[in-house]
Amino acid sequence: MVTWFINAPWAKVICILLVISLCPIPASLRPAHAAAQQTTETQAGGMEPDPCMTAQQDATRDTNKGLWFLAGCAIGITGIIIAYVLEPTAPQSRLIGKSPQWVSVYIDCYQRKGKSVQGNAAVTGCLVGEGVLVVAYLIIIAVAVESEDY
Amino acid sequence: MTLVLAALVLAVAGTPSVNSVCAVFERMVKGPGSEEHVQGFYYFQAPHKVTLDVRSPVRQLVVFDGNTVTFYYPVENKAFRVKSRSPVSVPFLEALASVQPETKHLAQLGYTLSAHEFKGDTLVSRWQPPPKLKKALGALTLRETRGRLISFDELTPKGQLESRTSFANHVRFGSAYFPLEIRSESYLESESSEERVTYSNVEFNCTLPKEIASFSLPKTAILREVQW
Repeated sequence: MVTWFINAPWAKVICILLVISLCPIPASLRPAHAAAQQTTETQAGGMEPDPCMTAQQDATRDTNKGLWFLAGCAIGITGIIIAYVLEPTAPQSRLIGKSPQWVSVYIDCYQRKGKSVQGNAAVTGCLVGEGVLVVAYLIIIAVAVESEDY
Repeated sequence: MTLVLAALVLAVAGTPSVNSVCAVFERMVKGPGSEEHVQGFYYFQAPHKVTLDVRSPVRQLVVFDGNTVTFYYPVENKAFRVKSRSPVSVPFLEALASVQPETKHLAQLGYTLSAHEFKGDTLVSRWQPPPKLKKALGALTLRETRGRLISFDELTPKGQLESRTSFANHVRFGSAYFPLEIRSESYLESESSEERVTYSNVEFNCTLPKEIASFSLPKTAILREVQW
Protein backbone atom coordinates (compact mmCIF):
# COMPACT_ATOMS: atom_id res chain seq x y z
CA MET A 1 0.00 0.00 0.00
CA VAL A 2 2.75 2.40 1.06
CA THR A 3 4.87 1.50 -1.95
CA TRP A 4 1.87 2.02 -4.19
CA PHE A 5 1.42 5.54 -2.79
CA ILE A 6 5.08 6.36 -3.16
CA ASN A 7 5.33 4.89 -6.63
CA ALA A 8 2.06 6.29 -7.92
CA PRO A 9 2.81 8.62 -10.85
CA TRP A 10 0.41 11.27 -9.58
CA ALA A 11 2.01 11.41 -6.13
CA LYS A 12 4.84 13.64 -7.28
CA VAL A 13 2.49 15.96 -9.19
CA ILE A 14 0.28 16.37 -6.13
CA CYS A 15 3.33 17.04 -3.96
CA ILE A 16 4.53 19.77 -6.31
CA LEU A 17 1.06 21.34 -6.47
CA LEU A 18 0.82 21.32 -2.70
CA VAL A 19 4.22 22.94 -2.35
CA ILE A 20 3.24 25.67 -4.79
CA SER A 21 -0.03 26.28 -2.96
CA LEU A 22 1.81 26.47 0.38
CA CYS A 23 4.52 28.87 -0.71
CA PRO A 24 4.77 31.67 1.87
CA ILE A 25 3.17 34.95 0.92
CA PRO A 26 5.78 37.70 0.54
CA ALA A 27 5.91 40.00 3.57
CA SER A 28 4.91 42.99 1.47
CA LEU A 29 1.60 41.29 0.58
CA ARG A 30 0.65 40.31 4.12
CA PRO A 31 -1.92 42.29 6.11
CA ALA A 32 -0.18 45.11 7.91
CA HIS A 33 -1.46 44.10 11.36
CA ALA A 34 0.16 40.67 11.14
CA ALA A 35 3.66 42.08 11.18
CA ALA A 36 3.13 45.29 13.06
CA GLN A 37 1.61 44.76 16.49
CA GLN A 38 3.96 42.96 18.85
CA THR A 39 2.52 43.63 22.28
CA THR A 40 -0.45 45.31 23.89
CA GLU A 41 -0.67 46.73 27.35
CA THR A 42 -2.85 44.78 29.75
CA GLN A 43 -5.19 46.16 32.37
CA ALA A 44 -2.63 45.24 35.01
CA GLY A 45 0.01 47.30 33.27
CA GLY A 46 2.00 44.36 31.87
CA MET A 47 2.81 43.89 28.22
CA GLU A 48 0.68 41.24 26.55
CA PRO A 49 2.09 39.71 23.39
CA ASP A 50 0.05 39.72 20.20
CA PRO A 51 -1.99 36.46 20.32
CA CYS A 52 -1.64 35.50 16.68
CA MET A 53 2.05 36.21 16.52
CA THR A 54 2.61 34.36 19.80
CA ALA A 55 0.57 31.41 18.56
CA GLN A 56 2.50 31.27 15.30
CA GLN A 57 5.83 31.36 17.11
CA ASP A 58 4.70 28.68 19.57
CA ALA A 59 3.33 26.45 16.81
CA THR A 60 6.54 26.77 14.80
CA ARG A 61 8.63 25.94 17.84
CA ASP A 62 6.44 23.14 19.19
CA THR A 63 5.87 21.22 16.00
CA ASN A 64 8.12 18.23 15.55
CA LYS A 65 9.17 18.96 11.99
CA GLY A 66 11.49 15.98 11.85
CA LEU A 67 8.62 13.62 12.62
CA TRP A 68 6.37 15.14 9.97
CA PHE A 69 9.21 15.13 7.46
CA LEU A 70 9.64 11.41 8.09
CA ALA A 71 5.88 10.89 7.82
CA GLY A 72 5.86 12.61 4.42
CA CYS A 73 8.94 10.72 3.34
CA ALA A 74 7.69 7.31 4.47
CA ILE A 75 3.98 7.40 3.66
CA GLY A 76 3.84 10.19 1.11
CA ILE A 77 0.40 11.61 0.42
CA THR A 78 -1.11 9.83 3.41
CA GLY A 79 1.42 11.57 5.67
CA ILE A 80 0.60 14.92 4.11
CA ILE A 81 -3.12 14.41 4.57
CA ILE A 82 -2.65 13.41 8.21
CA ALA A 83 -0.43 16.46 8.76
CA TYR A 84 -3.13 18.78 7.46
CA VAL A 85 -5.93 17.08 9.38
CA LEU A 86 -4.40 16.35 12.78
CA GLU A 87 -4.89 19.16 15.29
CA PRO A 88 -1.59 20.25 16.84
CA THR A 89 -1.45 20.38 20.63
CA ALA A 90 -0.85 23.82 22.08
CA PRO A 91 0.66 24.61 25.48
CA GLN A 92 -2.36 25.41 27.63
CA SER A 93 -0.33 27.28 30.20
CA ARG A 94 -0.14 30.03 27.58
CA LEU A 95 -3.85 30.69 28.03
CA ILE A 96 -3.77 31.35 31.77
CA GLY A 97 -4.58 34.94 32.60
CA LYS A 98 -5.56 35.83 29.05
CA SER A 99 -8.82 37.40 27.93
CA PRO A 100 -11.38 35.30 26.01
CA GLN A 101 -10.65 37.28 22.86
CA TRP A 102 -6.93 36.60 23.20
CA VAL A 103 -7.55 32.88 23.81
CA SER A 104 -9.88 32.61 20.84
CA VAL A 105 -7.43 34.25 18.44
CA TYR A 106 -4.53 32.23 19.87
CA ILE A 107 -6.33 28.91 19.37
CA ASP A 108 -7.30 29.74 15.77
CA CYS A 109 -3.84 30.97 14.84
CA TYR A 110 -2.08 28.09 16.60
CA GLN A 111 -4.14 25.45 14.85
CA ARG A 112 -3.75 27.12 11.46
CA LYS A 113 -0.02 27.63 11.81
CA GLY A 114 0.55 24.23 13.43
CA LYS A 115 -1.16 22.42 10.56
CA SER A 116 0.73 24.52 8.06
CA VAL A 117 4.09 23.72 9.66
CA GLN A 118 3.21 20.02 9.93
CA GLY A 119 2.00 19.98 6.34
CA ASN A 120 5.02 21.82 4.96
CA ALA A 121 7.37 19.40 6.71
CA ALA A 122 5.40 16.41 5.38
CA VAL A 123 5.38 17.85 1.85
CA THR A 124 9.13 18.43 2.02
CA GLY A 125 9.55 14.87 3.26
CA CYS A 126 7.37 13.58 0.46
CA LEU A 127 9.34 15.52 -2.16
CA VAL A 128 12.67 14.39 -0.77
CA GLY A 129 11.42 10.79 -0.67
CA GLU A 130 10.22 11.06 -4.25
CA GLY A 131 13.46 12.73 -5.28
CA VAL A 132 15.50 9.94 -3.74
CA LEU A 133 13.35 7.37 -5.54
CA VAL A 134 13.72 9.17 -8.87
CA VAL A 135 17.49 9.38 -8.47
CA ALA A 136 17.60 5.72 -7.48
CA TYR A 137 15.54 4.78 -10.56
CA LEU A 138 17.79 6.88 -12.80
CA ILE A 139 20.88 5.20 -11.40
CA ILE A 140 19.33 1.76 -11.87
CA ILE A 141 18.30 2.62 -15.43
CA ALA A 142 21.72 4.06 -16.19
CA VAL A 143 23.45 0.98 -14.82
CA ALA A 144 21.09 -1.29 -16.75
CA VAL A 145 21.61 0.63 -20.01
CA GLU A 146 25.35 0.62 -19.51
CA SER A 147 25.46 -3.11 -18.84
CA GLU A 148 23.37 -3.71 -21.99
CA ASP A 149 25.87 -1.70 -24.03
CA TYR A 150 28.61 -4.04 -22.97
CA MET B 1 11.26 19.98 31.15
CA THR B 2 7.84 18.48 31.84
CA LEU B 3 9.19 14.95 31.57
CA VAL B 4 12.02 15.70 33.94
CA LEU B 5 9.76 17.41 36.41
CA ALA B 6 7.34 14.55 36.21
CA ALA B 7 10.18 12.24 37.09
CA LEU B 8 11.42 14.37 39.92
CA VAL B 9 8.14 15.38 41.36
CA LEU B 10 6.40 13.33 43.92
CA ALA B 11 3.11 15.01 43.23
CA VAL B 12 0.82 16.29 45.92
CA ALA B 13 -1.52 13.51 44.94
CA GLY B 14 1.11 10.99 45.91
CA THR B 15 1.79 12.53 49.27
CA PRO B 16 -0.10 10.68 51.96
CA SER B 17 -2.80 12.58 53.80
CA VAL B 18 -2.90 15.56 51.42
CA ASN B 19 -6.47 15.77 50.20
CA SER B 20 -6.54 19.42 49.27
CA VAL B 21 -4.27 22.43 49.03
CA CYS B 22 -5.21 26.10 48.93
CA ALA B 23 -2.75 28.88 48.15
CA VAL B 24 -2.31 32.27 46.61
CA PHE B 25 -0.14 32.23 43.52
CA GLU B 26 1.66 34.81 41.49
CA ARG B 27 3.28 34.09 38.17
CA MET B 28 5.58 36.26 36.11
CA VAL B 29 6.70 35.35 32.62
CA LYS B 30 9.28 37.47 30.88
CA GLY B 31 10.13 36.89 27.25
CA PRO B 32 11.59 38.88 24.41
CA GLY B 33 9.57 42.10 24.40
CA SER B 34 6.87 40.96 26.77
CA GLU B 35 6.23 40.59 30.46
CA GLU B 36 3.14 39.03 31.96
CA HIS B 37 1.90 38.92 35.53
CA VAL B 38 -0.89 36.64 36.68
CA GLN B 39 -2.28 36.45 40.20
CA GLY B 40 -4.94 34.38 41.81
CA PHE B 41 -5.79 31.39 43.95
CA TYR B 42 -4.62 27.84 43.56
CA TYR B 43 -6.75 24.88 44.66
CA PHE B 44 -5.80 21.24 44.53
CA GLN B 45 -8.32 18.45 45.05
CA ALA B 46 -7.14 14.87 45.38
CA PRO B 47 -6.57 12.86 43.35
CA HIS B 48 -5.61 15.15 40.48
CA LYS B 49 -7.92 18.12 40.01
CA VAL B 50 -6.40 21.59 40.05
CA THR B 51 -8.33 24.84 39.79
CA LEU B 52 -6.82 28.26 39.27
CA ASP B 53 -9.02 31.16 40.22
CA VAL B 54 -7.28 33.93 38.31
CA ARG B 55 -8.06 37.42 39.58
CA SER B 56 -5.58 39.53 37.61
CA PRO B 57 -5.17 40.61 34.83
CA VAL B 58 -8.54 39.01 34.00
CA ARG B 59 -11.14 37.10 35.96
CA GLN B 60 -10.77 33.50 34.85
CA LEU B 61 -11.30 30.02 36.26
CA VAL B 62 -9.01 27.33 34.88
CA VAL B 63 -9.88 23.75 35.78
CA PHE B 64 -7.38 20.98 35.01
CA ASP B 65 -9.02 17.58 35.25
CA GLY B 66 -7.47 14.61 33.47
CA ASN B 67 -7.41 15.20 29.72
CA THR B 68 -9.66 18.24 29.91
CA VAL B 69 -8.90 21.85 30.73
CA THR B 70 -11.76 24.30 31.09
CA PHE B 71 -11.25 28.06 30.90
CA TYR B 72 -14.27 29.92 32.20
CA TYR B 73 -14.77 33.69 32.23
CA PRO B 74 -17.51 34.51 34.76
CA VAL B 75 -17.74 38.18 33.74
CA GLU B 76 -18.24 37.45 30.05
CA ASN B 77 -19.95 34.08 30.72
CA LYS B 78 -17.74 32.50 28.07
CA ALA B 79 -15.82 29.25 28.26
CA PHE B 80 -13.30 27.17 26.35
CA ARG B 81 -13.10 23.45 26.94
CA VAL B 82 -9.87 21.94 25.65
CA LYS B 83 -9.71 18.17 25.35
CA SER B 84 -6.30 16.66 24.81
CA ARG B 85 -5.26 13.27 23.50
CA SER B 86 -3.14 12.70 26.58
CA PRO B 87 -3.45 13.81 30.23
CA VAL B 88 -2.57 17.46 30.67
CA SER B 89 0.30 18.28 32.97
CA VAL B 90 -0.61 21.16 35.20
CA PRO B 91 1.58 24.01 34.07
CA PHE B 92 3.94 25.82 36.41
CA LEU B 93 2.25 24.27 39.40
CA GLU B 94 4.89 21.65 39.89
CA ALA B 95 6.22 24.16 42.37
CA LEU B 96 3.51 23.29 44.74
CA ALA B 97 3.97 19.63 44.24
CA SER B 98 6.47 18.07 46.52
CA VAL B 99 9.63 18.57 44.52
CA GLN B 100 12.11 16.18 45.96
CA PRO B 101 15.19 14.50 44.61
CA GLU B 102 13.27 11.40 43.60
CA THR B 103 16.12 10.16 41.49
CA LYS B 104 14.70 6.65 41.40
CA HIS B 105 12.11 8.01 38.97
CA LEU B 106 14.91 9.24 36.73
CA ALA B 107 16.45 5.80 36.84
CA GLN B 108 13.09 4.30 35.91
CA LEU B 109 13.04 6.55 32.87
CA GLY B 110 16.37 5.14 31.81
CA TYR B 111 18.63 7.93 33.07
CA THR B 112 21.94 6.81 34.51
CA LEU B 113 24.01 8.52 37.17
CA SER B 114 27.33 9.45 35.57
CA ALA B 115 28.94 11.59 38.29
CA HIS B 116 28.28 13.08 41.70
CA GLU B 117 30.15 15.27 44.16
CA PHE B 118 29.54 17.33 47.28
CA LYS B 119 30.00 21.09 47.13
CA GLY B 120 29.63 22.16 50.74
CA ASP B 121 26.35 20.63 51.87
CA THR B 122 25.03 20.43 48.33
CA LEU B 123 25.06 17.17 46.45
CA VAL B 124 25.56 17.74 42.73
CA SER B 125 24.69 14.78 40.54
CA ARG B 126 24.87 14.40 36.79
CA TRP B 127 22.51 12.14 34.89
CA GLN B 128 22.81 10.88 31.34
CA PRO B 129 19.72 10.25 29.23
CA PRO B 130 18.76 6.78 28.00
CA PRO B 131 21.05 5.76 25.10
CA LYS B 132 18.09 5.49 22.73
CA LEU B 133 17.11 9.10 23.42
CA LYS B 134 20.56 10.67 23.41
CA LYS B 135 19.82 12.50 20.16
CA ALA B 136 16.72 14.13 21.64
CA LEU B 137 17.59 14.59 25.31
CA GLY B 138 20.60 16.02 27.03
CA ALA B 139 22.16 15.39 30.40
CA LEU B 140 20.70 16.67 33.67
CA THR B 141 22.46 18.21 36.63
CA LEU B 142 20.65 18.06 39.96
CA ARG B 143 21.52 19.96 43.11
CA GLU B 144 20.05 18.92 46.42
CA THR B 145 20.59 20.08 49.95
CA ARG B 146 19.38 18.17 53.00
CA GLY B 147 16.84 16.17 51.00
CA ARG B 148 15.46 19.16 49.13
CA LEU B 149 15.89 19.63 45.44
CA ILE B 150 17.16 23.16 44.96
CA SER B 151 17.79 23.22 41.23
CA PHE B 152 18.24 21.22 38.10
CA ASP B 153 19.83 22.07 34.77
CA GLU B 154 18.81 20.60 31.48
CA LEU B 155 21.39 20.42 28.75
CA THR B 156 20.79 20.02 25.06
CA PRO B 157 22.03 16.82 23.41
CA LYS B 158 25.05 18.89 22.31
CA GLY B 159 25.83 19.81 25.91
CA GLN B 160 24.64 23.42 25.95
CA LEU B 161 22.64 24.68 28.91
CA GLU B 162 19.00 24.66 27.83
CA SER B 163 17.21 25.63 31.01
CA ARG B 164 17.71 25.99 34.73
CA THR B 165 14.93 25.53 37.25
CA SER B 166 15.48 26.44 40.86
CA PHE B 167 13.34 25.91 43.93
CA ALA B 168 13.43 27.92 47.11
CA ASN B 169 11.55 28.77 50.26
CA HIS B 170 10.50 25.20 51.04
CA VAL B 171 7.82 24.48 53.60
CA ARG B 172 7.45 21.11 55.23
CA PHE B 173 4.28 19.06 55.40
CA GLY B 174 4.69 15.60 56.88
CA SER B 175 7.88 14.21 55.45
CA ALA B 176 7.65 16.21 52.24
CA TYR B 177 9.02 19.62 51.30
CA PHE B 178 7.07 22.01 49.13
CA PRO B 179 9.00 24.83 47.45
CA LEU B 180 7.03 28.04 47.46
CA GLU B 181 9.22 29.69 44.88
CA ILE B 182 10.12 28.25 41.53
CA ARG B 183 12.14 29.99 38.91
CA SER B 184 12.78 28.70 35.41
CA GLU B 185 15.09 30.24 32.91
CA SER B 186 15.31 29.08 29.34
CA TYR B 187 18.46 29.85 27.40
CA LEU B 188 17.47 28.49 24.03
CA GLU B 189 18.38 30.48 20.92
CA SER B 190 17.11 34.02 20.89
CA GLU B 191 13.96 33.02 22.73
CA SER B 192 15.38 33.20 26.21
CA SER B 193 12.65 33.49 28.80
CA GLU B 194 12.15 33.55 32.51
CA GLU B 195 9.25 32.32 34.58
CA ARG B 196 8.86 32.90 38.27
CA VAL B 197 6.05 31.50 40.38
CA THR B 198 5.58 32.20 44.04
CA TYR B 199 3.04 30.75 46.42
CA SER B 200 1.86 32.19 49.70
CA ASN B 201 -0.77 31.48 52.36
CA VAL B 202 -0.46 27.77 51.68
CA GLU B 203 -2.91 25.56 53.56
CA PHE B 204 -2.89 21.79 53.40
CA ASN B 205 -6.16 19.89 53.73
CA CYS B 206 -8.04 23.16 53.55
CA THR B 207 -11.75 23.52 52.97
CA LEU B 208 -12.27 24.45 49.34
CA PRO B 209 -14.72 27.21 48.51
CA LYS B 210 -18.05 25.74 47.45
CA GLU B 211 -17.90 27.26 43.97
CA ILE B 212 -14.52 25.60 43.42
CA ALA B 213 -15.27 22.23 44.98
CA SER B 214 -18.43 21.72 42.93
CA PHE B 215 -17.68 23.84 39.89
CA SER B 216 -19.61 23.20 36.73
CA LEU B 217 -20.13 25.42 33.74
CA PRO B 218 -23.36 27.43 33.82
CA LYS B 219 -25.81 26.21 31.18
CA THR B 220 -26.00 29.72 29.78
CA ALA B 221 -22.23 29.97 29.20
CA ILE B 222 -21.08 30.41 25.62
CA LEU B 223 -18.88 27.36 25.20
CA ARG B 224 -16.25 26.65 22.57
CA GLU B 225 -14.83 23.14 22.56
CA VAL B 226 -11.38 22.46 21.18
CA GLN B 227 -9.79 19.07 20.53
CA TRP B 228 -6.02 18.98 20.87
